[in-house]
Amino acid sequence: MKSQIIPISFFLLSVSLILIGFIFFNVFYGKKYEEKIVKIRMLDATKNVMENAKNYLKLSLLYSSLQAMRELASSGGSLGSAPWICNGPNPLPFNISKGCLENYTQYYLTIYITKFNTTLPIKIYLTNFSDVIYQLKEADVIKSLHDEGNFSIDAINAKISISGDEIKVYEEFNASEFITKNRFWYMFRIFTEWANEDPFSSCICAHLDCACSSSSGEEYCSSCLQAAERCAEFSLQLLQKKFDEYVVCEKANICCMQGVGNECLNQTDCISWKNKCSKSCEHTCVQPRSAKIESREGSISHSLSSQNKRELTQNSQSDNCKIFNCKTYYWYEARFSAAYSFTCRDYKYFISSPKGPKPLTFSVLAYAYLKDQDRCKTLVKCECPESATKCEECKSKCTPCFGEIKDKCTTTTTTTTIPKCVSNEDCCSDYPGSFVKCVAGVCELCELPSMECHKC
Amino acid sequence: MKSQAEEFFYLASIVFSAIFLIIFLFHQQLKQGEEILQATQERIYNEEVSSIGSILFNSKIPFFEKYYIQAMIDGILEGKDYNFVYYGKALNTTNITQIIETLLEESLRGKWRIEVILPKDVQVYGNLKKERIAYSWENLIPVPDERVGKVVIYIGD
Repeated sequence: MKSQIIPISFFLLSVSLILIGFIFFNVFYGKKYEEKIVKIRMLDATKNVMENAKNYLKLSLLYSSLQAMRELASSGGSLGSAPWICNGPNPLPFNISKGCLENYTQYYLTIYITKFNTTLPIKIYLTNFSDVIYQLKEADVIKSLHDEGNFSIDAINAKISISGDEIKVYEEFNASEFITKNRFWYMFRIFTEWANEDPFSSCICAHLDCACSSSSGEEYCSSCLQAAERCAEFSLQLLQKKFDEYVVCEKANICCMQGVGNECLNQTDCISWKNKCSKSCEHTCVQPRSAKIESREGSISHSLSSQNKRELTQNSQSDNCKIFNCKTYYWYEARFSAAYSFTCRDYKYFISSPKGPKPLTFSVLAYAYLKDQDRCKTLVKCECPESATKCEECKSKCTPCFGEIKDKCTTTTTTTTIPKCVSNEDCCSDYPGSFVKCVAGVCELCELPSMECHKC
Repeated sequence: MKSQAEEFFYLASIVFSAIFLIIFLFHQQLKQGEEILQATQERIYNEEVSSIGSILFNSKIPFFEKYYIQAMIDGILEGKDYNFVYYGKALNTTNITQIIETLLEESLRGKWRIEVILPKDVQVYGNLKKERIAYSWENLIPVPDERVGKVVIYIGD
């Protein structure tokens, strides 16, 4: 029995030695080693996540800026931009467009930042960039230095913080993106030049007399529709000529109104006429959170306002002996309003969009809502009482009556000299801008345009 | 005779135990070495795919001046032929598959595969089969407008 105890205890001693060795190895070396390995791997993973976040943010900055440029370009350079032609030149100021781009780029960038995550057992905190700056100056845009892009967008002061078991990494991060092959500012520059030349509202002003035949104070265009279309076409051609061969422009009618106003008001040039087809001329940038893209196609309900229909009756009175040839100037207000959108697409460089690369589309509005208080001017015969011997005794319109009352039975009484003429053109010096005709050496104003009348 | 046998048995037990312990420790050392090798290999892979990722995100395709990853995303979004992207009259079309292959084939020789996963579509570049994948790396990618996708790079041994 005794002889068996010794080998057994020796065997047990050997086994326990192995077990103790195993335990000691794992406790003091193996575990430590494992922890070290895990820590190294976590560090590697954290480093990767940090680099991945930077890659993600850099590309996000690019996409945010492209989205902002795309959306703002299609809204006239700024969300909330007014018509670039608004009864006169009214191009969007450079600083509003630049500031709006910066706001929207930062806004979209923030959305991308909130979407960054990881499947690793670590926590990531990404704080937004405090500022986004487009590095360009107005003078350089005007000098065509940024026609092809070549400017940088800096996003500054984002903070990336990653924390996990025994790991905490923190970094401040600035992103910069150099934009090339992008013609946002080229289109902005050309549209600015075009708007400053203002071919549209000056054309509308010149064609204001188309509204003289209107039947109310405010109505949909009928006689003025053609004039509006001609002005828009002329403006479009001028715009198209300013761009190179890669840009294609088109126009679309938004609204057109015409009307006539009160009679015998003070004589004016073209002045503003507020109506359903008019718009504020103040440029703004709608803040991203409340941004709602306004519908460009504003619907205009048809309603006739006060009926101001003119019935120009020619009063030609004469008794047996007297011939009344007394005349007076009569005018009333002409109103004409037209609005068009001018959209140009750049086919030279396509830019990234949700449907793949697409041409950059820049669209601006042109509004002209004008009235002229003496545009519809005519010379009409005065209503004279039977007893009148002089034209001054007759009932006048906007000016005192002038002309002559002839007495066939006795003698002729001339009260006022009237223009003498041989041809219709001779009357233009007396009635510039009007339809006139020369009848028997006397200039007469035509109430309505006709073949026998000459437009001065 | 008996005591001699017992002594021999004791001696054999001691030697056996010692050998067992040595083998155990040696085995542990080998295992540790394997782990180190594996970790080192992983690091090599990680460096490799990270550098590919860095190229995709930070290098631009010459002439077109678009990031590689941007061109890949654009190709998928365009929705016609994922291999080609049209960038306008001045730049014309680029073959993104060819460009990526040229970029990676020289160093990885068929041992790579890139998956670009967008919200509605996936495009795979490279011919590495799934059973030969040794390491993978993924990164979130922004997608116009305000969407998110993923790019996964696989390399094989």
